[in-house]
Amino acid sequence: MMGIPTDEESLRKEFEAMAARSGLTIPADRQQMMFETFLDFRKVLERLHGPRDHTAETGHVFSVDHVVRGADHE
Amino acid sequence: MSETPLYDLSIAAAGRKLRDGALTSMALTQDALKRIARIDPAINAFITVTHDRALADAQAADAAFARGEDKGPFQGIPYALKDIYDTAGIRTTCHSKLRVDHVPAHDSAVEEKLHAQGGVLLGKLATHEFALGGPSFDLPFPPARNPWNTDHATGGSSSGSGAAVAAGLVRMAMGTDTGGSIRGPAALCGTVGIKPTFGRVSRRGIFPLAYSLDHAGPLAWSVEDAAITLNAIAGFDARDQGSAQMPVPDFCATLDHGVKGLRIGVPRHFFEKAAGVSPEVLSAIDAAAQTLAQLGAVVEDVRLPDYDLFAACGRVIMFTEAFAIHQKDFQGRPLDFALSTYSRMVMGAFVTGPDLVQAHRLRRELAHAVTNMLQRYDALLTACTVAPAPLIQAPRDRVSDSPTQSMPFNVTGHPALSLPIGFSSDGLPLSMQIAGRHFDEATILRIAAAFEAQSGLNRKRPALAT
Repeated sequence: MMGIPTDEESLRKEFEAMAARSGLTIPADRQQMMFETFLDFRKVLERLHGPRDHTAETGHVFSVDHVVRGADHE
Repeated sequence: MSETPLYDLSIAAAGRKLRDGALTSMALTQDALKRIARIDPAINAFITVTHDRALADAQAADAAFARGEDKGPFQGIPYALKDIYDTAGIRTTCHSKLRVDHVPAHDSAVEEKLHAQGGVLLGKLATHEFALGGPSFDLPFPPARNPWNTDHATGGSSSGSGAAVAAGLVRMAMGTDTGGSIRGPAALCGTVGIKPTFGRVSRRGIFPLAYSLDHAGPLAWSVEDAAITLNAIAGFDARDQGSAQMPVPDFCATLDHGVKGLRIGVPRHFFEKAAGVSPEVLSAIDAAAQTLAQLGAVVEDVRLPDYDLFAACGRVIMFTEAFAIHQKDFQGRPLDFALSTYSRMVMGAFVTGPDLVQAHRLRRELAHAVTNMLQRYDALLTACTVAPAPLIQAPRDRVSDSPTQSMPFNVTGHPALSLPIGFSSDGLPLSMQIAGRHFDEATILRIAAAFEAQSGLNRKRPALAT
């Protein structure tokens, strides 16, 4: 099974593909800086992954008793 | 006994003089406008000074007093708004080239309330671009500077709000807080700043940074003034779909109740070994904890999940939500953003769907951990910033550009405030952060008030303010 890429060529391809997927054309003079920022940010993303099983749901911070959702907008 | 200068009168004290007839709103307002003209060029707190509007508001407030009308503590009191709060007919720029000429048709909910209560709008304040990118020198307006030393940053993103309150240009300035943007500038500028519980104050008409992390709240020179402001602006708004339908207490009612018997937990592991932590900050927090213990609180170390989990969770959610909001402009006008805004917000493009789900699963775990701890303790005491204000020109970390440790309570939605606790050897403010149970702003204000009364720190202003 393939693991998460860690070599620079693969990471650069990932960076370029995700930027393109989001419709971004990163200005040429920012490319390297943004790639380096992306590498730092990947370390942040890694911290999200913990030992959770299928019962670990997402949720907002309150029970529905307190927050009215879906209020009308003008 | 010398008279307190007008700028140094609190909202409460000015309010008493307005009602006694010893002072007019016009006098307060004209004094504020003169001070802004004299002092603001050094600190760039204001983007727009609403000179004529302020005088008209003051005249209306004085006329209302003369008729025997009293709309509440904000009648006749000058204030200012971070320039992401919509103000009808007055430009609201978000400190960005992309909105430099934007004039909203409607007031934000907070402005509606303050105006209806007879407040006096002095103007719109500098902010980091779209409440994220700064301090930046590649924007239409200069960044705000720290009144304690103008070579230093204010913190952000409510940069102008912190600077304006510290310099005595306003008694209260509204900010917003998505990862610390009220508490950070409050800490670095030596003011009080409170991020209420998520949903406590309407976000309607405030340009969003991240929907699920944004909070609106005040910066003020005193705890009492922060509490008075919260009284004026809190409450359910059916037109803000994050608004909480919860009773609003009188946040001033228990300010003088002291801390005897309150249990305060200190997650020391958050800050004691943080990168760049200042020994002066550590000493000041220890001294503040001892002060609260001497005043009768039980203060104990506690253990929460690691700080970097809160930071990672919050940043991923923030950058993703922010990128979604601005995606079209990042595609079409990337160079119109400040570099610091672009480099951080665009990281939202690199978050996959599963990453975001993991962030929200982690968010639930972290919120429960803090809520569970607050079943055993009445409040938590931690660092707000781990170092005094950096130099405004200092290079910043690309992903996180400040020494602020405030993200946990944006992730969890708990109320949290920042309060001055001393000064560095360089004369820059030091602070602590107090967080409490959901919708229990009253207890954290009470603890802050007790400490403030003991410390007397709000008697000292920056030199340029006097």
